[in-house]
Amino acid sequence: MATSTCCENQGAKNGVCKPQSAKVTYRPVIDVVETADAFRVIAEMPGVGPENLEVQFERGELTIFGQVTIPDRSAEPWKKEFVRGDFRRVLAIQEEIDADGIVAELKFGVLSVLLPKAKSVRPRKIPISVR
Amino acid sequence: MRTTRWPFEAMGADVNRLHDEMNRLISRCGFDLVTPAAFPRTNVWVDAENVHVECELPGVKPEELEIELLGDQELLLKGKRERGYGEEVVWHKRERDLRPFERTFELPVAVDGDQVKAEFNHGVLMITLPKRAEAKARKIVIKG
Repeated sequence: MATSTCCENQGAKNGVCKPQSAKVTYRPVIDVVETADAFRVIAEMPGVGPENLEVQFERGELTIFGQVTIPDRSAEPWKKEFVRGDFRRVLAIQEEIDADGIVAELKFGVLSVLLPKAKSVRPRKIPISVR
Repeated sequence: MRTTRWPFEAMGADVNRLHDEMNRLISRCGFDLVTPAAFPRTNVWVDAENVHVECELPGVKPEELEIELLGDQELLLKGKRERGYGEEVVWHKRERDLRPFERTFELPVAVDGDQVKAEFNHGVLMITLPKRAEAKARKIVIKG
C-alpha cells in the first residue's frame, strides 16, 4: 500500500520538508478456522471503526482493509511501545465460497468474516435406504 | 481426527513480524522511537493537565477488563479475552494470543485517582488521569 509522503500531507513549508511520522500499514494478526460448512477469518484491527473498514471478496481472494484515525497529539511521549496504523491483509482461499453468503462483523476492534462454502463442496450425508 | 489442509496463503508469523518491523523503521522517519513490550502494548504521554495512557486491547470486552490505580503513580491493567470458535473446528491459522494478561506500570507523575476517565473505542483503551495539583507546572511570578 502506498503511503503519501510528509510533503504531500502537509505541504512543504518554506521549501523545508519536515518529517512527521508517516502512516503505517500493518498486517493484522488473524485466526482462521474451518467447520463443515464455512471458513471463519478473525482479524485484530484495534482502532478501526465500521465506517473505515472494507471487506472484499473477489476471484478467491479475501481483502480486509481498515483505516485508523489518529488523534492529533502535541504532547511528548513518555512511553512509546506502538505506532497506530492502518490494517490490510489479503488471503487467497482455494476452496469454492458462496460469495453472496459472506457475513462480516466488527466488535471491540476484532473483525470476524464468515465465508460459507459453496453447496457443491459441503459434505453431504447420504441417506441409506433399508430394504 | 480430520486432516488439516491449508487453503490459505502460506505466510508465517515471521513474515508478519518482519513486515511490522519494516513499518516501524519507516515510521521512524520522524523521531518516533518504539520500544517493543509486553501485552498490552501501551503508549503514555503527558500534557500540562493530564497523563494519557493508550492501550491496544482488541477483543477485550469492557466487563472483562480491570483498571486499578495503585497508590497515585502506578497503574494496573488486568483482563482476559475469549476465543469461542466452538470445538469442532479445523485450525488453519492461529496467530492471536488470547492468554489472560496482567500488567503494571509506573506513571510519570502523581495523579488524582478520583478524576480518572477511561474510554474504550474499537479495541483501543484511552485512560485520562489528571495530574495532582503539586505535579502540575506552576508559573512563578517575579516581583519587580
